[in-house]
Amino acid sequence: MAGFDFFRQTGHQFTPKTSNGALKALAAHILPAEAYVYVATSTRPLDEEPYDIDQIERILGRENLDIDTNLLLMKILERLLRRPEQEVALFAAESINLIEGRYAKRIEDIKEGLDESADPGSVRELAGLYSELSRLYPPHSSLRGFYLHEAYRWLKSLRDSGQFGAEESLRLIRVLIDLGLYDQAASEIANHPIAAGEDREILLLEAEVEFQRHHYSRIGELCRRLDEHSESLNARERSMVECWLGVDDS
Amino acid sequence: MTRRARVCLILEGSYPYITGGVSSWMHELITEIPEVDFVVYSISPKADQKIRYQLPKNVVEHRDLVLSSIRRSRRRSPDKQKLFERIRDFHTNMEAGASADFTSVAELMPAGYYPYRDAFTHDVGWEMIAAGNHRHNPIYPFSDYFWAWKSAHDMLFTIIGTEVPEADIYHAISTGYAGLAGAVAKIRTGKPLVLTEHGLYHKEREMEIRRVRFIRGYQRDMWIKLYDGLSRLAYQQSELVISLFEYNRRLQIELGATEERTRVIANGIDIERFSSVERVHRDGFHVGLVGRVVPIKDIKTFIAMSRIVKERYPDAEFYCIGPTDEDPAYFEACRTMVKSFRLEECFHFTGRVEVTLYYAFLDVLLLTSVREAQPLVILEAYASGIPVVATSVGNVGELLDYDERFISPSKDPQKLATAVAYIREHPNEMDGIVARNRQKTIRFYDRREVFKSYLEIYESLRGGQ
Repeated sequence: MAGFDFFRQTGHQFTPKTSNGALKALAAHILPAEAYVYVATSTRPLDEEPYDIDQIERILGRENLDIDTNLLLMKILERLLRRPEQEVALFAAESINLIEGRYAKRIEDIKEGLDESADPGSVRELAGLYSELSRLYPPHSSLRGFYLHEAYRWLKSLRDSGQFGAEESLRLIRVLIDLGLYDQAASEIANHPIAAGEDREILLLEAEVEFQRHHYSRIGELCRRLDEHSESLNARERSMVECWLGVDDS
Repeated sequence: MTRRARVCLILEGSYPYITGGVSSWMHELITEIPEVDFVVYSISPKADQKIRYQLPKNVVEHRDLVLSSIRRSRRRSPDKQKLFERIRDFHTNMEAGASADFTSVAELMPAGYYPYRDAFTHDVGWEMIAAGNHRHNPIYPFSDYFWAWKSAHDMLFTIIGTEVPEADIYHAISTGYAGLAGAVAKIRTGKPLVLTEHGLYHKEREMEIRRVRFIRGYQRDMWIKLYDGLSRLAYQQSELVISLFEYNRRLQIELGATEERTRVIANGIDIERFSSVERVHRDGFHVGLVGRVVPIKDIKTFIAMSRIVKERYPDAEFYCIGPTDEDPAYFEACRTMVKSFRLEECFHFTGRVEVTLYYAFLDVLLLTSVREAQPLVILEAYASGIPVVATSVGNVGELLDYDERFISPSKDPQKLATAVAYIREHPNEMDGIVARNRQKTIRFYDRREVFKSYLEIYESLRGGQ
């Protein structure tokens, strides 16, 4: 049986870069099964240092990345920006420009369409894009604030046009919290079409707002109601609830 | 009476069709060395482009080579079998990172011979393509590989097959296709080749290729290797390899340039113009950025920094000095940001203006670019007597004496604002730094000295013939 380091043994062998490529090569009898095992099991988390620049680039090469991927990439790129190797820092800066540029292009395309007709769907999408963009930047940064204000502006225009549903309301609450406008967020929660007790997401947002407003007695009550939804809470949400309740996990 | 020297400038995708840093430099080089006749040999992606510069009188010939054109062969190779064997050896050595003999390849490819078809109809050529496919692309259709290979190589055949203009010296202003044309000219005519790189061609192309969605997998690797190979070839064939700063010179050496044949000639500025700027005190605190409003200059970071500075110094004013029409969507986004930050009253987009009017009163010059080579605006500010804060790109470190107080990572408005505030808070210390930088610029970055160096290079190479 061939050793797992056989890729290093010859410089002239086809070396697949992805597990998909290795699988195809295996199916075509170009490479043995060990090649597939080697490539498919050699993957490691993207944000594990030292960073694999090739892998980051491969992902950046895809146009329609979701927000979670973009957030992960931004976290890595922010760190790479501070690396002393100029080329790595340059790569990071240009990659951030690329991610932002993609959002800017989509925003530009929607805005051009809006000149002809103010379609609520487009305005909704615009607000969503700005709010996603804001999340790419660190809290309290000016750029984050700018994009949050833009998201707020478009959500407000949606409300003014009477096209404001539960989903937009949730987004607006999130934007208001991120802008630090907790009283406004509380009033938006109070006016939300779905009563807070019935919706896990609203409960979480309300608890976050009350925590920021230092209304600790109210948080206890909200967290107890959240307990009814405990099975649907993810790990992050559960740890937030524990934090609000002051649970010591040591 | 001695005949005037004739220098063939080989350019790719720049002068006289595209405006910008390299093209301006080219135009100045030609203008500032009137004792030399220049032939401008432009390698362009397409035909019939509009000339953007008034060609100086000492441009005695302007010839275009359109990369995308397919030409009919007028001549044959003296020995096709030998030619393809040499090409095979050349590729084998290049892939192994060994010294590859391009001279014997070029000697077997006379001007007027374009092996667009021979490259794949000849047995050796075909075997090379098939082996390349097997090594790099065995799991995808062969036709993908073949057409990718052909589109990459046809342009090389066009360059190699085209007759070069006559000259005493060939001067390529980048590696890549211009460097290849220079190498071919040198081999065919025996005349010396000089190479000046403003950025690093292969690095810039690599960055572009990695960003392009339609070039993927082995095709991406193929193009990157091709451009690396072209740079290595130009370095090997050049009598002199010139870079703008030390960091790039080291990268050239890493890719095969011989250390003794490399030299740094920094770009310079019009010292008289900028050192004669009469500084006038204007109330308030004035921070300016000179550059186009485009993402690469990262104007958004400038605006974000302005907001931080404005909170601390309410009398601060900000000037974005440069054209705004290159990327209208980006400009619009910047204007929205200025409005959103409520900076409309104090943040000014000047458009295209005479920069010295602003150098007269700016308190700080800021550079927020994510990519630069040797930014001349820093030198202009120094000569005018203005302190500088900049992102750590290209040659900025060297120009700012690696003083961390004034250098920031890219996209860090907080660090930039801290540096700007430091300048405001330490006027006496800054007076000394400004005076030193001014002296340094006058002494080492005089444009006339730069072009004098080039004239000396031309004279010495011509004298050696």
